[in-house]
Amino acid sequence: MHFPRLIRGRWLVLPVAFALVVAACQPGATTPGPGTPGPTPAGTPDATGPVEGGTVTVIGTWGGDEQDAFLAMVAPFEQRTGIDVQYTGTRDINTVLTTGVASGILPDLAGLPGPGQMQQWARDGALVDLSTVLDVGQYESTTAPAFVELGTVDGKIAGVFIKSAIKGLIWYNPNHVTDIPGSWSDVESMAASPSPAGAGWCIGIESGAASGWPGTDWIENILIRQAGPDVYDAWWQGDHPWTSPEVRQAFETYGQAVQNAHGGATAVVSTNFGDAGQPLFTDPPGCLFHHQASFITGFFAEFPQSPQPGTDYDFFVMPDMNDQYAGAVTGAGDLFGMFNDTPQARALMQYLVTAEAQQIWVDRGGALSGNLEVTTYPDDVSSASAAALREANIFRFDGSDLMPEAMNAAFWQAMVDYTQNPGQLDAILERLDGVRTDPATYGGQ
Amino acid sequence: MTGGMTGAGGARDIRTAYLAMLGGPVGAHRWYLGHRFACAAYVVALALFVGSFLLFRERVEAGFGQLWLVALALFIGQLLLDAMAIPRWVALANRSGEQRYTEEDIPWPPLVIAVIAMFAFVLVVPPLLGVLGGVLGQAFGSARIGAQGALVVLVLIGVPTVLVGYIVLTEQALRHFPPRFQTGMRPWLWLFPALAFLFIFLVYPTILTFIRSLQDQSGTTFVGLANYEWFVGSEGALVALRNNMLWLVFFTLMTVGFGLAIAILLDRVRYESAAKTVIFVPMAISFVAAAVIWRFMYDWSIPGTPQTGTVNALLVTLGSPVDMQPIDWVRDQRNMLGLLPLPDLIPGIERLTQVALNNISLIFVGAWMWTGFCMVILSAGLKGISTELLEAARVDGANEWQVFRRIILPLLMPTIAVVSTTMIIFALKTFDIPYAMTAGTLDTQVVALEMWNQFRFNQYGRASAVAVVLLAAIVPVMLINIRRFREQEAMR
Repeated sequence: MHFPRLIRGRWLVLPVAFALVVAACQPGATTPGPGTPGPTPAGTPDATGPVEGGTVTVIGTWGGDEQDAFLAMVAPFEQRTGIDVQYTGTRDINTVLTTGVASGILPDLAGLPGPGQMQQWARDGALVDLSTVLDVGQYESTTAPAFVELGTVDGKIAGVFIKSAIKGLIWYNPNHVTDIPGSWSDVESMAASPSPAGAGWCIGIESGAASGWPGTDWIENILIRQAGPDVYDAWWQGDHPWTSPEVRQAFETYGQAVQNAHGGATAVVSTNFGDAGQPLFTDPPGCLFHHQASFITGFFAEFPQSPQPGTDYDFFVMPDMNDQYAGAVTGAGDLFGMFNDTPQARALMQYLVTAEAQQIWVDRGGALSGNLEVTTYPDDVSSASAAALREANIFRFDGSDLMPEAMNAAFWQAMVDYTQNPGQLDAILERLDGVRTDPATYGGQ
Repeated sequence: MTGGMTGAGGARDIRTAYLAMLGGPVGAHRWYLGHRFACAAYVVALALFVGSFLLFRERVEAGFGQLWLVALALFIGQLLLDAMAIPRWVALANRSGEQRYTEEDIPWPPLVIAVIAMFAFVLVVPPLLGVLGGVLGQAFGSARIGAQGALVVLVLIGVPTVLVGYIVLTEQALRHFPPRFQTGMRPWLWLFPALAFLFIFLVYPTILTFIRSLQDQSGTTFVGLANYEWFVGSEGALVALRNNMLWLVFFTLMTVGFGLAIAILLDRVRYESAAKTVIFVPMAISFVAAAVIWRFMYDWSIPGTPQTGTVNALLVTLGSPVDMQPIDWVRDQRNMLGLLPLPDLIPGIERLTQVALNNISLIFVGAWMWTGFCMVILSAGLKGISTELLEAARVDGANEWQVFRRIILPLLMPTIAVVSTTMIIFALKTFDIPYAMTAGTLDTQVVALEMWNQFRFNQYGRASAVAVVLLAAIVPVMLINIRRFREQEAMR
């Protein structure tokens, strides 16, 4: 190959030498990459003072409104510190983080799928021990103890809750329901003869790939009230069989509700959980009661009838079903953990647990906070649900979130199957037991 | 040794004289090193090695220790290349007569240049990126956009540079060798990056997957065929296999059948291209988009309320004389064809012999997308049949059905075979539609989705086993397809 003299030879040496000199004079500069950590040059200075500038990468499952809420939550932090928070939303957070833990390419902060996975990753050493990041004393004194405990693995804080929800609330329309039933049997008898409403319950368990999860909430809330926290704990840990009478009774109670549901079983399976509460507000109402967590108020706000909290919708906590286990309540929350210990990530984590940050999301509605210093809520209904969460006698985290992924997915599917075919309860429970006893399911835990 | 002292430029004569003085292999090498550029390149590379080790030791160890070793290997390789080429240069130098060596006969040291480029990339590019990112960040007002912009610039400049540079350097490397060797070696060198990609991202993972499928979940112990045993024994996996068989049969029948029918009916009709475009357009959208569209089309509302799903709306409106109820197409699992009423010999066999309505609904979505593909190919094949043949048949008194069955179909058979095998491969691979519409629940699971689920559950051994099963199912069909395709090409 013949190259003109211009390209050959000497022209290369000088620029290369110059570039080398330039490079040698650089301090350990970090490449401003798009979030995936590349080879970090050694000697990044440790932050001794307040951190200014830089980026934090965050991954969560939120999209749409929830994503806006999170970005609003971190906006003051970004303005104050100049740190750029780069949030990516993905529905497949479990896959992303699992492959990330295996490959080492992880975001700085991430929403964790649940306490079960959090424990796994904390024990693997992938999650940073937050006791070194947060002021532990202050954190523990300002956060509800249940949430502190749920985020702790082997004495180390692995995850913090930045928002929470209480489950097992029964929503109703005060315009149509004036007497709050005091016991579960009252609820059931009201649901059986619901006039003037069309049916007793509004239930919708469709949710795309996660269809069935509202049904799992039903089972959990029924089980903890009927059989108590010990059975509940053994159950989600995989030590209590699905075919046992307690679990079976919980399913049958749910089946009873489906029989009194608006639109029948087919509607229950096909209606999206967010839209399921609509018949509460039609005239005449399609149903009396809607069982759902506290975050459903965000969805209510979007309904065409524009229902107002307090006047058009209110709630009562699902009544006790067994006097032994009075005051039992389930709840859930969004866990956050830290994978990469950088000064910017530490700053963000410290900010996220403050009352100031959590208040922002709470003010937007649809979220509760485990932080005891968050006291103002946008309306009385949210206040009441926050109070119910704080004052619960027996509190347990959402069971299906605590189960391993395989069990969780089978549970969701079982709810859909059972709703469609209540006569096949035995086969469905046996199948669930099959998944439970498969050594691969609970083996890793 | 006379050497070429006849005539040419003064510098060359000095070099030749040099050689004449020293003679032999040593001289040839000195001659090479007499070429200023090559010498400088060697020196620079050496300086880089020593300098990087002394000055940037942390970076060498932390950042690119392996790269450093690769660079060292290339450097030594260059020395070896040069050593091998010495006899040629000696011959060139000692040649008398008109044929002189020229600058072209002296190759650059390509591997040394690659070494310098590697160092430059690692040491120079990050700070340059930082500066560029800063500049762009100022211009656009956001550090993040600045960083992204800097990367874009790097890619735009870097990728062509690397590609062209690779070709140039391989050419230079080849010139160390005799011409016949060059022509044999050149295609392999040019293909090497593509083949390397293919190996790294296709062949190597396949081998690893196969090995992984023989291990347990944590990947530390060999468990033989335990994962395959699980696959055969797991009801969920068998249901997935059954559904793939359903896809195989119905998807292929629908796409090829509809495609053939449409191709023949539209043949030589006035509005042919318009109609074909309409049929073909669904192929332009992604699987997920099609799934979302049909989720809305299949929507179910409580009977008596207005139907928002198009299909149910049509059904209820057109079927109002018989009081037709809307059907939940995606969730209704009624058995469409009471196929194979097998006695319940094996518990649960009933579940495996169902052709559920919701499966057919999903398969129809796939068929809606791919009919256009089959139609286009079959139409092309159809147009390849000479009209004289058809005219002759019609003149002989054959009706249209006979023309189709006796002439068109046999002649179209090879095309149909190729299209069918392609559709079978798609049916076996199907993932997007069940994933987007039902996520595999409600008995619509397919094998690819089962593999995905096992990955979600961290069951890597089982997921690998499912992947291998899928590969084993597809490879024979693929081979048939290739063979048929080759036969078809040969026929042209």
